[in-house]
Amino acid sequence: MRKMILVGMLVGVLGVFFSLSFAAFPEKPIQIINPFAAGGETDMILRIIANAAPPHFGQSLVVVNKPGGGGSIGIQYVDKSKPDGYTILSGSLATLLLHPHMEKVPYTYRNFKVIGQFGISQIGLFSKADTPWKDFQGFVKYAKEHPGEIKYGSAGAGTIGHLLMESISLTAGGLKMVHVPYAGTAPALTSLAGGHIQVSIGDVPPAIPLMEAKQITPLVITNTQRVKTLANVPALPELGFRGVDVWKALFAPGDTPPAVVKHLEKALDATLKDQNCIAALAKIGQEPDFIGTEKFTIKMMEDDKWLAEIVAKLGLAKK
Amino acid sequence: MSASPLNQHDRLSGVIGMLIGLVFCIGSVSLGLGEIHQPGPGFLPFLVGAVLVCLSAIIFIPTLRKEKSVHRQEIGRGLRKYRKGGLIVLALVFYNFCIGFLGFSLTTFLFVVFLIKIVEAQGWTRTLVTALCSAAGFYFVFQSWLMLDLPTGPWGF
Amino acid sequence: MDVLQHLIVGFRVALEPMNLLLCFLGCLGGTLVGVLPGFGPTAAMALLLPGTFHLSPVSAIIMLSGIYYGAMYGGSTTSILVNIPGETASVMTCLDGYQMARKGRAGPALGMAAFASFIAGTIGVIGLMLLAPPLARFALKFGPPEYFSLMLLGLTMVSYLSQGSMIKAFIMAGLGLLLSFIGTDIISGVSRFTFDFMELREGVGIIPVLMGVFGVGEILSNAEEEMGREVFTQKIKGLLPSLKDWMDSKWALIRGALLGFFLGILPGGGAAIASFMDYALEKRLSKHPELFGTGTIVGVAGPESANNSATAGAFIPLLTLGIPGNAVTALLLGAFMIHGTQPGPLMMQRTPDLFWGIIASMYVGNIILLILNLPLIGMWVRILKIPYPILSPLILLFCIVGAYSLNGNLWDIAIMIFFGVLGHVMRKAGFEGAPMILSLVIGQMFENAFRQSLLIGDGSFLIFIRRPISAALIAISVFLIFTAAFRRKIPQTN
Repeated sequence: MRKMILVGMLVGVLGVFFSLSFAAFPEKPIQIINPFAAGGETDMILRIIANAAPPHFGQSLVVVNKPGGGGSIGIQYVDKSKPDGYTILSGSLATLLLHPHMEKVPYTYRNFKVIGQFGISQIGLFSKADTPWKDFQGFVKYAKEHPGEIKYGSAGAGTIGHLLMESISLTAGGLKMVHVPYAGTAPALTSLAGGHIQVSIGDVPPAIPLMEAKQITPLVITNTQRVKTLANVPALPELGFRGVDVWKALFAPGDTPPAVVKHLEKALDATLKDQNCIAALAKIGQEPDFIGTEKFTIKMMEDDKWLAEIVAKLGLAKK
Repeated sequence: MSASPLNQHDRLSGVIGMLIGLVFCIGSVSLGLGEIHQPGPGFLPFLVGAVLVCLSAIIFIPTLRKEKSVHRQEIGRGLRKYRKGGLIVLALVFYNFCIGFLGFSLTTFLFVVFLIKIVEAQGWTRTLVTALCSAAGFYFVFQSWLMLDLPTGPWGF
Repeated sequence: MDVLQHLIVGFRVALEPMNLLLCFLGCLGGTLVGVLPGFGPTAAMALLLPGTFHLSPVSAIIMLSGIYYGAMYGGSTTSILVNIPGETASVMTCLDGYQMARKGRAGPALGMAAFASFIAGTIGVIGLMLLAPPLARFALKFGPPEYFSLMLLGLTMVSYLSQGSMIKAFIMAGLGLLLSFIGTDIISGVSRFTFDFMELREGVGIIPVLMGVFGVGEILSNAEEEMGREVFTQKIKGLLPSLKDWMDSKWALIRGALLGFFLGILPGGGAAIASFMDYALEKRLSKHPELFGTGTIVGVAGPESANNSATAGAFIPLLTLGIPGNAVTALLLGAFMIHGTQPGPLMMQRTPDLFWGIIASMYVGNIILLILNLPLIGMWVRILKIPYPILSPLILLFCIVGAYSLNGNLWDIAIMIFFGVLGHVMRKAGFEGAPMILSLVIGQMFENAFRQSLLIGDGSFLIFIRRPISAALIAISVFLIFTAAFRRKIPQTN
């Protein structure tokens, strides 16, 4: 009997000890590695989240920029860092899924454990204001009847915009459009506003001032749903095409303990429900969009399959 | 001899220039030249590489007529004056190599000591004072104030 | 007059004590950041951005913009003192500014840089104020063919950047172009010449190459000098530009301001290209072109004036159309949005306080910077009195940390060292660094514009000639090539 009480006490003490050590995480600030330079859209979102984080995470979040290699330098850094939950990665569909299909990198998305999605890029197709077509269907019809005439701009060959446009073209039965790649969404939009190209596909926020200036009009949103900032613009799935959500999510190194990942997931969820955070994000035209670990992992695998197919079809797969 | 614009190193420069141009030309071909109305990724690199080869040849060819004796003299005398520069380069390379495991402050300290004491042959007081002040100063300005993430050594600074 | 009324409103906002203080802090911070090579205004602005959350939009933008133009002032300081360009736009200032410093004329060089920046900045703001909307519309007319022709013009001006053999200048230009091709090609998506180095995917960094060729290279060159020769003449000749300096530079200042302003308007154009072209222009128009590169005040006045009015010009597409022309204005755009305003054509009507407040604060900023920098000249000049054996390791350290601060990657330091050695060796062989830097900056834009134009024009080369702006620029390039060839031939036939 005495033995059992002793064992029971031991187990109890050990149990308390273990739960305490997990509850002790986090003890110091957590670093979010942004594999791009300071000042970009994702960077600002991360800084807003970091600003609202302390009460939910129990520690402060620090955004650290580690740019280079199109994102691969920062990703590799997190891949190699200690899996203790103090170094996490801001990854996206482009950097973690798409890029590894096209270039040789020493990792895949499977190297990491998903914490959760925190947002989605808003991408749309824009057209010059005065054109023969009035909406997306009109545009598709025109492109079909005038092969080779439409020049569309994108943020570069192999970017998600390029792939989306080709996907649209294939679904519509093969439109012959000329792809004019630019060094980013902004230069493409500038060229569009100047009338040098007729349509351009890219991020929504930089396009808004130009829309207000009546230089360009939105044709369709390529996300799977409509976006708040352009609520009366239809999304691709409504018109019979496949939409893609270019997600942004937080990841931890693959060997991070599950309990730590769970803690981070819950904290992220709470932060994204924080009123201050939502308000600050709304100011830059963003909305938080949280998806938890399990659901998101399934989504990632589906996206990966689609990307592999289309990259192969376009002949952009790495040799 | 004559006040010609030719430089004593022109022969070597010409050869290296032609080699570099050639390397880029060959690399460009494997990238795909495309055709003139639809240039591929290798098109412009090939053109520029070819131009480089031609221009380097223009530098190189006149040297075939020049005397060699002047050239050899220069090399013998020159080797000694490269000592300082060579040491500096060595110091820089070691800096980059060591900072990963020794950390910023220590590597900086050693670097400055090496340069001032050995390369520039100054006294110990000057050396140590400058080394300490610079390691500390740079650390404070860049790490503490500008929040740059400088590599830390085994002692955490 | 309508504009005058708006301006008065703007000044009332800009001169509020809080805004004045923030402007001052921004300018001060910007100058310090500009002096540090590598650590650019974007990094400083990103650092301070969260701190501005609680400020009003006007105050936040005033402070952040202050950092921007402060950094432009600061960048020229290191160019003149130690031949290290703070950013690409300050490279030209190195060519003559540093030589002036070696001759004991660092004071006049720094002073002229400060005054040039002030004058040009003021002219730029006036232009911004009066001509913003029509200029923005003009800027939109620049499509890929126009950018190509502009870059072509820039490349033909390469020969003006060198003092020595023209062929060697073009070889360096070719080398710079080849270097610019390294990285992922945006038109086809393939990686070129990266040899599987991830660090090269975005290309060889311009700043590490700059600091290597100019900063490290200079130190290596000095290491080879015979002992006893001073690097900096200890006799300091004056702290401010002389009357003669002013008379020599007066036209350069105006030309630089105008050229810089127009090039700054073009998204992607920028201060760097403006300063290159202005240097070449001044050399071309000068009666003593051989003085360029030896320490002539015009070689400082022109480029400095160009790069500062380009800064003002860059605000035009940002404020009138919401289009950021470079990384700094992109960050400012983000700052605008975080504070709930959308720059664009409606900004002038919706929030005139904000618009005119910013413009007025640009005037104020220019004045603050002048007042700030002139007294500092004495201090900077004294730094040159530090014995060179102590100074040179410090300069190297400066470069190392500056290179590291770009990406937090040791790779950039390695690139800098490599190009330092390369730059030094090439200089001994008679090859100069400036043409290579210019082509490196221009290269990617040049090639991309070329291929984009052919895609838009369905493969036809006529697109470059059919469009008026492009045709004009090409005509100027051709003209320059011919006259350069003849100019060189004539002295030789003597």
